[in-house]
Amino acid sequence: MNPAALKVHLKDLKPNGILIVNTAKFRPNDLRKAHYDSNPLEDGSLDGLRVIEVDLEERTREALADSPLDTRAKDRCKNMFALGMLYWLFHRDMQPTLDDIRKKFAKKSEVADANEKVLRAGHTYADVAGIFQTSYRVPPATDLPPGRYRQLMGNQALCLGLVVAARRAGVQLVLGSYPITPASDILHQLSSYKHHGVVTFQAEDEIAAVCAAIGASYAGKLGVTSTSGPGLALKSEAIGLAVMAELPLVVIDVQRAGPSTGMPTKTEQADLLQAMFGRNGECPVGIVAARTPGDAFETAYEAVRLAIKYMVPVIVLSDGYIANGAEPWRIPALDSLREIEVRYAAQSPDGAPFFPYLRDAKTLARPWARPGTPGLVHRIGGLEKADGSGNVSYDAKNHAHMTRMRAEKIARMADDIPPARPLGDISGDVLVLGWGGTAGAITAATLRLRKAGYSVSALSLRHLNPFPRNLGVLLGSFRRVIVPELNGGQLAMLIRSRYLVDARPFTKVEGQPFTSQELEEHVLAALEELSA
Amino acid sequence: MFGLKSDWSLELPERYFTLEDYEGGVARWCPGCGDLAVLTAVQKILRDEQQPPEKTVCVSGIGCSSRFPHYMHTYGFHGLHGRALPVACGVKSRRPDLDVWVATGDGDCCSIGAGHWIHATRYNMDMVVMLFDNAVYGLTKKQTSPTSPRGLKTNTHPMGSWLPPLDPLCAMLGFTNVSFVAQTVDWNPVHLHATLREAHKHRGMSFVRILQRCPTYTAAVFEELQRDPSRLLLLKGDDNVAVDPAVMKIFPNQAEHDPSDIGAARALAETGSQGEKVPVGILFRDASRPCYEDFTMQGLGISAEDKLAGLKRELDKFAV
Repeated sequence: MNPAALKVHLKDLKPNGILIVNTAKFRPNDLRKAHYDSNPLEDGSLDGLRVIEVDLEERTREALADSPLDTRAKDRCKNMFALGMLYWLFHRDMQPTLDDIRKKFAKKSEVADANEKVLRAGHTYADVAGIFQTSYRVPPATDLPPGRYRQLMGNQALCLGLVVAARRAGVQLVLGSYPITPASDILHQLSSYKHHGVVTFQAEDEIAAVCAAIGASYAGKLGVTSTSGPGLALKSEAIGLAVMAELPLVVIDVQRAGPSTGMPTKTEQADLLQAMFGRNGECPVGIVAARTPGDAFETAYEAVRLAIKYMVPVIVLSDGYIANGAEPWRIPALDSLREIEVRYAAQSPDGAPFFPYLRDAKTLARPWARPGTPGLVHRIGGLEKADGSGNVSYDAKNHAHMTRMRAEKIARMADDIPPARPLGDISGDVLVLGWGGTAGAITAATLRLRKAGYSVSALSLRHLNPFPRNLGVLLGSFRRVIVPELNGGQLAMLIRSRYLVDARPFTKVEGQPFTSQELEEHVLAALEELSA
Repeated sequence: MFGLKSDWSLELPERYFTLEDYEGGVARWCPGCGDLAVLTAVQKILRDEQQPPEKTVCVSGIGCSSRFPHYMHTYGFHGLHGRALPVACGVKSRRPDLDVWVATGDGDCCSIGAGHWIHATRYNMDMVVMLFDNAVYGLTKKQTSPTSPRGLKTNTHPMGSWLPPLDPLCAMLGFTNVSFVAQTVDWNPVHLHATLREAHKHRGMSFVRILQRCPTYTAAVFEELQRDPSRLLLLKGDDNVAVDPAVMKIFPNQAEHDPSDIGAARALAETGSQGEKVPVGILFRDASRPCYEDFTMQGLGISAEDKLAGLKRELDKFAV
């Protein structure tokens, strides 16, 4: 750590944590630049931490005494020294990194040599200098179910989920999108999937992107659009059009810190209410959220399934943290995934007239009639339709009926989604209720508290509209419901208004995810309050 | 006669379409509205070409003219204000087998949807784009539109519009990858029909600006043009709109124009934008301009087995 990095990240360290400091960067000038009045290495502000002081520059230059590189190039290798020390600390095999170095600098052998030398020097230094009092071994994961695993990032997972779902449904995936951080990777990746039958359209703007996706859905394909918060705002009118036209549409929102341009590279969960309500008129859509990078696969798959089955737009909420985070992910067997059935409308054999808004008795979905099909000629669009015939209608009773129908379609999905299953018990003192990308921190904090004997359960929601059927009962089975969110308390607001439960928001809007530690402390305080 | 191709004398078609087969709901435009003439012209063209109604999709935005799809008995999508072109592009790009017609107005296309207009031109998908230009916002009751002439008194400019009007032809002829630009008038059904027919034949985005009377709000704007045909310039030639000699006689001013000459087309549009010698006919046509769907349909003929195998490979990437 240099002083600036120390200032930003010190709060992330647990008491008695190990802090490796590069003393070469703690000269008076460096301290001034980071706005330190006194040297934190000397003023006691690092008491309670295990501080390891290393002059990385000096050690690196020493290791490279014989190297032909100039001093600047040598100094650039110093991160490898630190990495070498960590390899010793955790007893990890250095070979993958050594291979990577060879690959990355294949054309610059002297740079590769230098990096390798410094990495090994760091490892040796940690060993012989005895700077660490202890070292650690992380055993291989044994509690994961057997299967084939791969490393997967959130945005990749979303793409694969969409592709697999489209394939399962036997429908062509058409992505209309416009570049925006942190969602652009989705457009990049799907653009390289032409061999899977995926078609991408880099539109001239966010609105054209969603409109082209809607046009594709109207034409019988699966229209998808991907964006971040500002783009979702631009797409709102068109999402309303898809609600009115009752066409399948998947909208992916990889959330970032807002409002406006905000902090594009920082994570936040502040688009939940935008997804829920951010359109004119009574305009409900399905909403699902990805909880971990790997979970994004199933979430995208679920969004496609619901959009097609109920002929509605479904918004997928991900966030910058999930998008760029990675985890080992178990590759699912393709036939283990839920079925997605596409039933295009066909001409009635007796030539009966076609009713584009005649609904399925169970799902209330209207038929999906592809242009080009004889006998199904019809007009749809943004004007209110008479139920059944689909003709433009300004009839008062019909509008009330159709408004109810559109809401009821979403509500009925609740019968089609799994019930909420909390981690831990189904009743007790505290339920930590989250959604989306906070799942990791919530799970870790809850497991630690449970291990310490506290009555804490956790639930991370995937389905946000509609909520799982049993959510209300669950919420009522705990003395306290805490809702940690990276926003101003949006899920808490929905929960409170929907279930009349005194859910307590615990919010953070710093562009950073929760640490399990801060969640643990917050829940612990609540537990103490309850027992007092 | 109409639609009877010579080889059909041997084999009767299973379905023969009459004008009624293309007629949708009863049009609710004002009496004397120029949109009615366009509607009839399009229905006639589809009938002439015996285009099955289910193969046609009419897409529109919002405005008086955007009610067009409801009056056609074809597939139709009446979307959002300004967004007719993106929806049409979404349909056409994935379904090149469909015959796509776009109905858009001067506000819809040249104001709120202007960004899409430029890019749809560049994508050059095979569709007909009809710009119903009545120089005013009609549905919202008389506000200045981008093509309103200077001095037009509207509810938003009660002292008269003061900005110079946007000329859609000049704009189109400046857009990259433009492939077909024509102008016609609603009050000459023969020329209107012939121009739209040429547009429909062209492969690529065929843009037709239709000078369209609004009897309610801008009756005076086109009155002079209608009364005094010498204000118009009929473009003729081997490659231009062919009309009956009796109809040609109506136009005192006629000029030979080769639609492959974009320089000449720009000059004609520029002169016309001053309100004198307003050109009618095909200004520009280049069938060799690349179409979006040519590129995007490539490489999509993959068998289901290959797709599945590819998918498994993708999932297994980096697997341990």
